[in-house]
Amino acid sequence: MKQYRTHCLVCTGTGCVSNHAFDIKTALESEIIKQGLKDEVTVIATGCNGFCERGPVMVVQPENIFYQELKEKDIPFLVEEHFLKGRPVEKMMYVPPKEEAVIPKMSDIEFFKHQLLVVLRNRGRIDPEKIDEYIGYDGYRALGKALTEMKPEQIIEEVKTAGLRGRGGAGFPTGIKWGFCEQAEEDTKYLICNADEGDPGAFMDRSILEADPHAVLEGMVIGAKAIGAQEGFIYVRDEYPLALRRINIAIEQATEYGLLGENILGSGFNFKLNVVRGGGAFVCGEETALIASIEGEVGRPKPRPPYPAQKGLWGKPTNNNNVETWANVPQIILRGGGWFASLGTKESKGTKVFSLVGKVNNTGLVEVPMGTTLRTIVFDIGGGVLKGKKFKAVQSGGPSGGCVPESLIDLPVDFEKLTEAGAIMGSGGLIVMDEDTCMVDVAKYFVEFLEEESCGKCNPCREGLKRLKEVLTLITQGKGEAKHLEMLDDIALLMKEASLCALGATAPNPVLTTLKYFREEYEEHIFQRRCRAKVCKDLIMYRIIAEKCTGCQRCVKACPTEAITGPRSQPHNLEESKCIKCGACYEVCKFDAIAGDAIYIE
Amino acid sequence: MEEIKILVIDDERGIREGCRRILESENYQVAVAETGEKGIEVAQTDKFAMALIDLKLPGMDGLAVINELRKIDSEIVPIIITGYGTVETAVEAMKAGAFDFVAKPFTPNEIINVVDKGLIQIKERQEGLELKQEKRERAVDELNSLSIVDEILARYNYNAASLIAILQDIQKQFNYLPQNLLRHVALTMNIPLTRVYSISTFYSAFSLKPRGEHLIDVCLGTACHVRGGMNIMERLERELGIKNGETTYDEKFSLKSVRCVGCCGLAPVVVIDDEFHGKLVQDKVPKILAKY
Repeated sequence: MKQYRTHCLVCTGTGCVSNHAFDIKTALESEIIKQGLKDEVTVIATGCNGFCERGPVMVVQPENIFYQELKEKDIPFLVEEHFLKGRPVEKMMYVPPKEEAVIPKMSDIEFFKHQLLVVLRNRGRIDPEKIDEYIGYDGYRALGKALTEMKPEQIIEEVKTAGLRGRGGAGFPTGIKWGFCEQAEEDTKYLICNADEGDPGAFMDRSILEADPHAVLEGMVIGAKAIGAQEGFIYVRDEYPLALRRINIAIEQATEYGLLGENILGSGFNFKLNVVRGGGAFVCGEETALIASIEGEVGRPKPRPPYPAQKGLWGKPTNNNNVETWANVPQIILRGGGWFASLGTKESKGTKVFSLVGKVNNTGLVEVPMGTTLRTIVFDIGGGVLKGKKFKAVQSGGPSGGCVPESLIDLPVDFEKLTEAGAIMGSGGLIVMDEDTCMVDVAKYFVEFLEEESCGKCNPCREGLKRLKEVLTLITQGKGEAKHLEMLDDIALLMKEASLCALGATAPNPVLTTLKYFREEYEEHIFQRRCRAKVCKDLIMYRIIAEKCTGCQRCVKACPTEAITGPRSQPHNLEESKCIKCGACYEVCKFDAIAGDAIYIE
Repeated sequence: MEEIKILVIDDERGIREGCRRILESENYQVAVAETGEKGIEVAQTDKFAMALIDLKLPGMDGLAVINELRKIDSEIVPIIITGYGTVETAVEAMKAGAFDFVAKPFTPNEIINVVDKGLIQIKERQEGLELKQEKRERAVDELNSLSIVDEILARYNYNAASLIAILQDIQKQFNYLPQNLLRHVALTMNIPLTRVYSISTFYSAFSLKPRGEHLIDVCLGTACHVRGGMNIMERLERELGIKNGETTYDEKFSLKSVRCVGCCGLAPVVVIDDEFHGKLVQDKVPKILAKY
């Protein structure tokens, strides 16, 4: 293998690709050739680095220098300064919020410092389209061990010892689940990898598939051996073209290397893997619905029992795990269940990948041991709330989850603690909300989402969500009444009890947690006709604060209805009858001169 | 509109110039000739939609002129001008291929009427042609599209378990799921049309209506929602004059909300075709649309 003095690891996860990371890569390559460095410097396209907020990003090794927000036009300068003259370029380095000095090394940046990478261990360091790079970092060693040295029951025992729990949401112990399927007496068994990542604000499954697809494959082959399955399916969202591409390349390469297909590693074990593209339905994250979808049917959940472990895909015993769960398996086999169990809390072992998004400074993908506090995640890793606004809540677990308020910021995050707080772990989306987020609007947002995605099969879910939406809409329109709070409680309780699948049973969670922790916001909407976050349009009006307005005319130009007028350098005038409350002026105003304020409705 | 040219062939100067005056006042372009021979010469140099021809001409007579003109341009509409007592001949002329006739002396209105009728005839003939052409193209299209669908079906071994993937591929090819193709899928795969239909309406990836040239997906995932994605959606609705889920009248844009495209670092995000526009503020919306 050719040796290089310097490696440029350009992130080509979807976040950075959206920011034209491939153009950066091409520019780097041509500039390196132009400056005669092609035998000394190499460019590698890696999977998601995690720090999506600052994309496109690049890490230069061996110095471990982190470059952010790269622009094509800066590349020649960067190549010349850093690679030719040996002077790392400060202006493209990371500056923490509220500070001035740059932090050159990736390992010194707060965002990375607190993370512990198990699942994402290969992120940003290997080219996911080259199997040799995966193998270079111990890849497929666990598979070798599982196929040649371990019996199926030993594999399952190891996973049980590790205490690994399903990362897709419910947190069911993986080893026990495998055991059920292993015990089913059938010759044909199937495996499924659920990559139909539907929670809005969660993108770890996509990132894992994009950054380290072989870890998922390896985990699945080990699982197949343990359970006795001959065929597996990876169900990926069709909206994830890059993940699809990389998983297909990985399957091709693994098959070529004899790590998949017939007689794997000469052990006589066969396992075939297929990729299925999802059709875009949130409910297909539910396993019985997902199975129906793989069968080419409409994705509607079925009552359990029978559980898929007995009767799953085409009536055969089927084991389904989420992407992140599968990606944990090789490490457990390689380093032992005991090692894995030493990470995390009493009931929740190992690490968890979270997507930290919303009103937070450092948006991105983070992996931390279970039990890390929300404060560490949001304030240390996340760098706190955007624009120095006041923190209000973290929403966890997607539409089935709930909002954890500021008073619980020191909550150690694991399955139990989040459930106690009324939220759930879910797939690991953490959405940070600040003082500008209206909690009634958030509840309405999730209810609308689920109303659209409900498959409509059972009554409580279909009708319950409709009614919840009606009531919440009335409240946000300033037409709320005292009895509405009670109604929300009633409907939510009924849905929890009577819905067929988890989608309906957990659907009221966003309403219940916001009612529990932010009841005063509901009451303000109902009794004072006021939205303190200035989100609900029927309850606010825009006005210009004359003392602060410099007359810069930015808002005059931005206003789509010509409601704002006024000559330059004089406080502008906002005509209320023309204002559609779109907020365009608020977005462009640099002087805090436009404020939404509550209005009263009789 | 293209100018309509009319050729007037008459040996009487008064008729010739009279016709010219009347027709020019109706915005036609008029050329005149006093004999059949000269008229044919003129017709060879230019394309005329219509010719007004005196039946009794010195030298070559009107009927012979019609024949010659048709040889030059088969689409020309000939109209005969005739004097007293020659109506029978005029009828004969019609049989010989004239479109209509007008008897001398005539009023300006009579001339205009007969010319108008001729023009309607021309228009109808053209539309008929276009219609035929369209039908022909459609038939070819249908044949082509069926064979494309057949290829897709064969790729999946006509396996009903792959129905979703099959429909995804069809949609990629045709931009939506045309009804006739869904029928073809059901028929060829021997599965009920209701199953094909329920799948194409259940999954949000499918559209049964033609979509615009550019697909605008507005991300309304939670991260985009709290960072103002809804404002961006509303602005797009206003700019395009359509609602979420609709296509503009000129079929240029289709607007749709999607739930999380997984680029929360760029929130709020709009994806147009495959291009991501991140960290948007409303004010940028018109500029972005102008690029397409």
